[in-house]
Amino acid sequence: MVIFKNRESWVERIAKGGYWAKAVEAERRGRLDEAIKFYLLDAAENSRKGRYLYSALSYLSAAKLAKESKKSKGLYKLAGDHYLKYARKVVNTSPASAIWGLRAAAKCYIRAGLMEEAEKCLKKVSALAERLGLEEVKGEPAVSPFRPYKGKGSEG
Amino acid sequence: MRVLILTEGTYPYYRGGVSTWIHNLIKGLQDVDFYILSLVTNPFVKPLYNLPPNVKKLITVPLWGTIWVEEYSSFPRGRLIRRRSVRSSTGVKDLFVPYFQELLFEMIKGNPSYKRMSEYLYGLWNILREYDYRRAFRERKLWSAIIQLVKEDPLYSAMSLRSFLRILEAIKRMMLILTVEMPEVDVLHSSVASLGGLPAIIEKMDKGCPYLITEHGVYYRERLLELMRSSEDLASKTLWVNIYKSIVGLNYYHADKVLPVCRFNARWEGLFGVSTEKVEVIYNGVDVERFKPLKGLEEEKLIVVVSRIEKLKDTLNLIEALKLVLEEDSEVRCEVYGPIVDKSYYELCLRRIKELGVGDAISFMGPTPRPEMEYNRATLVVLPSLSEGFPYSVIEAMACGKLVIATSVGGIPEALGDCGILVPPRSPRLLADAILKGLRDERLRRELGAKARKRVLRLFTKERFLEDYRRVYVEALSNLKFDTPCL
Repeated sequence: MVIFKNRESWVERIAKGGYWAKAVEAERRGRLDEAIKFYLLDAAENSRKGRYLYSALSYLSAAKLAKESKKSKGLYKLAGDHYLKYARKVVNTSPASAIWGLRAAAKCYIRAGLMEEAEKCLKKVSALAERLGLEEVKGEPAVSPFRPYKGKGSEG
Repeated sequence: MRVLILTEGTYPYYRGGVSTWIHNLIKGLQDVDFYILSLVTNPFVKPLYNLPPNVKKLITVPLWGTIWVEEYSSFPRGRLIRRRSVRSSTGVKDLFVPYFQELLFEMIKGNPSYKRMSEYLYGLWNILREYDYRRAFRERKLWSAIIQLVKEDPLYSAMSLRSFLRILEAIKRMMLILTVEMPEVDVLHSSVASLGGLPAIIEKMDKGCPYLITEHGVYYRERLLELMRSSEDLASKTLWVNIYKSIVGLNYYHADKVLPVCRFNARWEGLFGVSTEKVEVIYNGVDVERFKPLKGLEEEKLIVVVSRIEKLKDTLNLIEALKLVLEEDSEVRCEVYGPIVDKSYYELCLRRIKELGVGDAISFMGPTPRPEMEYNRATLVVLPSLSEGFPYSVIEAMACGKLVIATSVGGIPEALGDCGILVPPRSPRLLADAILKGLRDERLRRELGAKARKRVLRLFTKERFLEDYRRVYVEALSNLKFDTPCL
């Protein structure tokens, strides 16, 4: 049973998915210049709407595809800036997301050759984690939930 | 951003914690386009939720009640007709049978190689794209190969014919899922590490999309509990354990991130060798504007339970505790809100109520569209479960500033902290004592209720929950960009 929500018209189908989907499709087909163009359009659109997380991802995707190193570095910087903006925006709502945003920004700055900026981001990570007393909620080491089986006559 | 949510026996066809979680996630992340692949028992189920506008497609896969599962999905009609018209059984014999035999061997042996399992599964999926599933399973050579596998094993060969046939039919049905056509998405997100994750694993192998798993109850643990109580013989129980273990382990093997709803689950994931780096606990969150203390609604001596009626929720524990409470205070009443998902268990509860003579004090109210009102009417809220993930009913009641008395199972101790009363599971006497203490001590109720509300505001808000998931989706894609070399 397939339920199509708001079944699309043919016009909508052609324009479907927005810039992000078009960029992904172009990248998959190896049309890299077209993919970069759509990623940048998507980044600009999301940035305008204040969705910095998505614009950062689009800048990062474009940076990966840009072969010319100068252009690529500029795009990595933009991606870093947007991850940073995202981290600032969500620090009160989700500190774990803010910390991740800062780390992602640092990675982008390193690729852009901006080591000082990257270092600043990583310092902010430590300061934030310390201030919030936040330890990331990771998994725990494996502990068997079963009592170990001890056969008859086994030692210990 | 396009995300495929994979569900098994939950959203949007059944109510419960997992369905609430998915509905809240989709409704909250309006900037994400969601696709849903829902495994259900039969093709006649009807959706119980109004799908939000950002759900672009719902693909339902009925594992029973039809053999032509593709007809219920968006499988390209041309390919479907072509596939059915392939009459030659050579491909099935030469390709499908050996792959299936190897896959089954890995699944039942107890210590599977997930790498090999993945290769066989991917191979089968590729074959089923061209060949008809029904024809493949009608092949005599396939059944001979399966019988051979079982005969060779000293334990499995002792299995009764009835059990063997039941297991074979179930495996055959499980393989139906390989015929599903997947939509184009960026991120795959399964709500359980089980059979429902297999299409995501194949999609990941095929297109490289990141795969995330959120664990509510631990699927493997719950299956073990179920098998412990079942009347199957030892050989078939062992076979089932190995099959579950291989499927669950395969999910973890391919997952880029495992997102349990509580630390308790993470312990089980560790047992499967999931590295701690891959695990991040994301607690459920509640709408603190909807679930808040409302003055003037509280009734005297009213216990409210919001839970499905089924074995794992241990309604019998509540009924027996209520009998003990009534011996001390005959004015206490209990209202249970939630759907009946196990009818025979519900009938068992009714018989127990009659035996204990507590029929006047307990009412099964069915599902409620306004749980916030029921929590606010309650003097205290109880959850008597045997197994839980991170139950909404606990954090919602906490957000309403109520004293919660619950069994210390799953993520409940993490949710309650020191803001409620925990009792061991299956202990009606201790549960009754805690209820009586809560009912008699108003100051305790007020203090713990206020603390509980504060705890929810600090740790379990809907905003935090949604932001964590939005970030996890983008994080999975960002990591893919960071980790793969430039073109």
